[in-house]
Amino acid sequence: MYASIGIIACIAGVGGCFAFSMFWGGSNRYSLLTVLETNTKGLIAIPLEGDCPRAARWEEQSRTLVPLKTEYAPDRRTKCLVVYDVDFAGVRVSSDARKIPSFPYRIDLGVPISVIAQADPPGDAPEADAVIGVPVPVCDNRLRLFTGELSLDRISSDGVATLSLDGEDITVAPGQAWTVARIREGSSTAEIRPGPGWEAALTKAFENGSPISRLTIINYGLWEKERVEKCGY
Amino acid sequence: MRPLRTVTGSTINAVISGGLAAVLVLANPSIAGGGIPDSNRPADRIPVILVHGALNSPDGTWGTASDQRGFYSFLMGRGYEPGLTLFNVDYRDSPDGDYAALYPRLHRAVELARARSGHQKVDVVTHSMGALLARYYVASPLYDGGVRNLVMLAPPSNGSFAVTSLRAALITVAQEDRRMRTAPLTGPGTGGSTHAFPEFRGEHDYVARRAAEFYEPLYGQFVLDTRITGGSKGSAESFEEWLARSKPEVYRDCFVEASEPPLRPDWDMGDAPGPGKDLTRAYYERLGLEVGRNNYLKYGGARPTLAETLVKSTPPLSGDLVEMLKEYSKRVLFYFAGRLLEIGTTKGKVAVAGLLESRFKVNVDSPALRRMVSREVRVSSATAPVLANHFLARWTGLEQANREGVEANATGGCWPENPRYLVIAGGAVAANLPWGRGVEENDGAVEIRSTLVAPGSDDVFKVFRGLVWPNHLGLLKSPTVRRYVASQLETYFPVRSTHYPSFREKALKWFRWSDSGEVAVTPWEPAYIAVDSSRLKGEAGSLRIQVSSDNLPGEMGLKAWVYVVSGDGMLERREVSLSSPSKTGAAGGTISVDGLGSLYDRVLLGFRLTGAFTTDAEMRRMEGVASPVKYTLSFEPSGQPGTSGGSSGAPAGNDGEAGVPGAGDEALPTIHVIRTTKKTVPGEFLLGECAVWVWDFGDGAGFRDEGPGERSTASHVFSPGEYTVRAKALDGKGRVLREESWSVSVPPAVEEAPAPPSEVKFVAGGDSPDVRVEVTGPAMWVTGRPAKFEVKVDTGGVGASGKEVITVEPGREFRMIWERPGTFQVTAAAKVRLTYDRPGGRVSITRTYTGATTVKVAATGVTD
Repeated sequence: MYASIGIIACIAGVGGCFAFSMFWGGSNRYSLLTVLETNTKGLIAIPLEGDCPRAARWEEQSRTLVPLKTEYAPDRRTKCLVVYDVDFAGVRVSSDARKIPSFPYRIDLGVPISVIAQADPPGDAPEADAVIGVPVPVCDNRLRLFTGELSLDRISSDGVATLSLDGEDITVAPGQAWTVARIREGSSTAEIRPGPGWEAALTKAFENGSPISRLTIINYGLWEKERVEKCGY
Repeated sequence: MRPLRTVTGSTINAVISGGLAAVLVLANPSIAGGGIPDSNRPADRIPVILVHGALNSPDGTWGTASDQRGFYSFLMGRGYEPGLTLFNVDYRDSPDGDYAALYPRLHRAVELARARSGHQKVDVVTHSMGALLARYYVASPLYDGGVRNLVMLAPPSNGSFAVTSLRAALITVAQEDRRMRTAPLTGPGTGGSTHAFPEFRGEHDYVARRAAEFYEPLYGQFVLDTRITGGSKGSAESFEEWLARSKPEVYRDCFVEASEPPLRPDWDMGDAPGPGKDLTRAYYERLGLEVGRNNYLKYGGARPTLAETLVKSTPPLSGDLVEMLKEYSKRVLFYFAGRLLEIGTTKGKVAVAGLLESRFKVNVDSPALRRMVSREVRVSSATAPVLANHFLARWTGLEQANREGVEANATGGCWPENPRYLVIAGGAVAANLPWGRGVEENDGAVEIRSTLVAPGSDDVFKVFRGLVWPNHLGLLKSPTVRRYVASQLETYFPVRSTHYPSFREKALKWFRWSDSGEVAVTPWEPAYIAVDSSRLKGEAGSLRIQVSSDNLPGEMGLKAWVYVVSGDGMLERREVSLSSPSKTGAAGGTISVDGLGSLYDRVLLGFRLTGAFTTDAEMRRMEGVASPVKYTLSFEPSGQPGTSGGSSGAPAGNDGEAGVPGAGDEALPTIHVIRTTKKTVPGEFLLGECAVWVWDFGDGAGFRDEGPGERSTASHVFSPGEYTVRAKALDGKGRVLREESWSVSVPPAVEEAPAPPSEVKFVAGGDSPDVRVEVTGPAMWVTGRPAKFEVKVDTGGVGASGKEVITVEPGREFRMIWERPGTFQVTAAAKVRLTYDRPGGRVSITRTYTGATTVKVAATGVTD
């Protein structure tokens, strides 16, 4: 009898460990998504170097990720890595990498973007002016037309991402992209989706000087966690 | 090709007469007047001349004599003396710091250092832009070979990205100011038209027009295409990359084909820089692109924003130049960091630009700033760089041709007076600091790749890496760097291997020998193998050198050369002709160094790998490369003992004229010195003090005067007749010191009266006639080799009617061979007979005179 109890306990233990590892240990793969927010108006300061460094770059052929910082690298619990860039008139002012361990995960698109000016070198006297060392807005967030929540609801085993934006469900399969643009004309905002008239409408609004924002989600599929260069770039 | 090295006396005189002291400062004025050396004795150290960097001072760059952390005091600690072997060149008073106008100052410093130290060569150590000044001097007509080492710390040899960016910011500020004050240069966008370059009426005008009429509307097209309507991945693309990809004809016309010689045709190396004269159209197009983008962002949505770190706030006006420079440098770094550019007013920007000009002599038209613009600028990360600074490119290429002897080889010569270049750079800042991103590895102001002069075969290129330090200004503070520089100055040739005698031949045995070895060769620093003079032993013969490598790295070649060095001066450089690397990377060659035979000859065999230094990737690849190269040395004597012709004879630096005997010298008397007591003159010639005078009156009478003394007197009564009276002075061993004689005639008696006794008095001795015996030969010699000496007997100062050199010991010419080292006296003796006609008789004096010289004899049988 004791043997039976022991066998049952052993099976339960192994099963528990398996379940624990499945729940906490994570997979050796992660899903790579990018969220690109581009805006035509609202830039009030330019990072002089040009674009701010992207949080991560990746080689699609070798499916290798090179994070800017080691803390951006997917860890054991990461199920999805989202690289979120914000761009104004061709200038990338913000880039962030989100390591998502569980779903749903919400990205607040309305968080104001500011830049922390470079702190003084250690040991030097602090700057007297307000530029160096303090957060400074780099854009007019009122001219960013996507201000709601982008929710990443799940990633299926084959890498299909399910998201929702302002209550609308979005499904992006690996290798596919989803995009939408908004145009502010006066006090109203119109939404443009890809299809006939997409280019003409956007070009007209651009030439009219209307603020335009576009949100693009790209699903790069499932990547191996082993293929991450953790040295940064 | 333009003759660069024509030096006229009037030119030099004019420069020298310009005043040396005015341009030379000593860190410690209290010692400015001292330190003038004994003109007959060169200073112990080869003098060092320090040349500071731009926007800096001698004290700021090198420190003062009391600053223990400074390079100046470090050199003093190594034995350099201010005013004697340590000098500064100061060019702070220059309105624009343009090295092309300032290099005569360095020439004057070299002349002064030579005069004070007694050395013919000096070492020059430079920091930052000081290197450009020194390089300009070396390539100038004033240069006459006076620089031995040119050490360049963080030199912007191919320009500075910091200067490029700073100048771009300044011209952008100026252009914006112009645009704000005048009507905007608005007009129909060309929409991609690339062929309508505006007339070049100055760079401000050109940049403004290109920005407004072409790049600003083009940037809008870029935003629309890539950010709004275009593909989903478009945002990863920059304006420049989009331009190169989507509008290749624009990129070709505006950048690739615009990397042309400057717009004005009268450009020359020595011409003053100016708009259209030194920077290519591609550079102005690059500025126009930058300004156009900024204009779009400024007027198309963003508030005005430019180099705010520079222009928003005024640097504290403490009045302390160093502190302001630090503040300014910090702001430049923040500028490059690109953390943030908040919008400022045009008025503020212009005010700051004016401040830069008034306090730091920095303005967009500064010749120094123009000339330090990078040789190449990168338009897009996806495309190759385009030529920006045509002046720098042409000058660098011309100088390199001279250093390699390309021009001179056409006439069969080379430039042995070219200095050895040592380029020292700091790196790794780019990998660790945010502001370093976007440019290749750099020290905060200069990219490593940009520090490198196109390498010559005997250049040294060292990179010191650290997390953030040594950076551009901190390079001099690094103890490692300082020690390395000092070691390079003191050793001149860092020798990887020295071939001292390893053989056991008996001295004097005429030898042939061979050695072989292997050395790791890199493209960064020449490797030298020394065949020491004690190995060659001054033997007449030739050294055959074989060099081979079986597996050179791909696309790399091997270069080898030979210096035949005498004393501390380089005599001759010879290239080793090597075969081109085969497919397997095998290469090799042979050279025979003939005509060896001078005692201090030594041979330096140099190697280095060669290859292209054009891209950062190649730089990194070559950095870790080291290839083994085999060498074989074999010495073949050209003659037998005592028959070694073709030699120059005397050792270098020797006062003696005699030396290795030539053909026919075998007959000369040879003296082997085995013991230090060995005498070169037979004992009978080495006389003692006068002990006795022996008189012989010629009539059978005589006597001995046991005085003793240098003088002796005698009287004697002669009978009528003819007599010869002799007096000999003898030393204690009976050897004749002096012999005198008189002729006496006593007339016969007259018949009327008996003849009185005829008494005659004599005086012998007294002052010696001024006869000199001079022994000439080498002052220094080595064991086992015959040294030739000559003996001259000078009787010119003697007023005798007869002069006869009876004998010379050991001979009028003779050879000495020492079998052991030491300091020896070489003595010669001459027996001379002098005859004087005096009233009452003839006096003949025979005496031995001696002369001697001292020889230091060194051993050759030292082994390591």
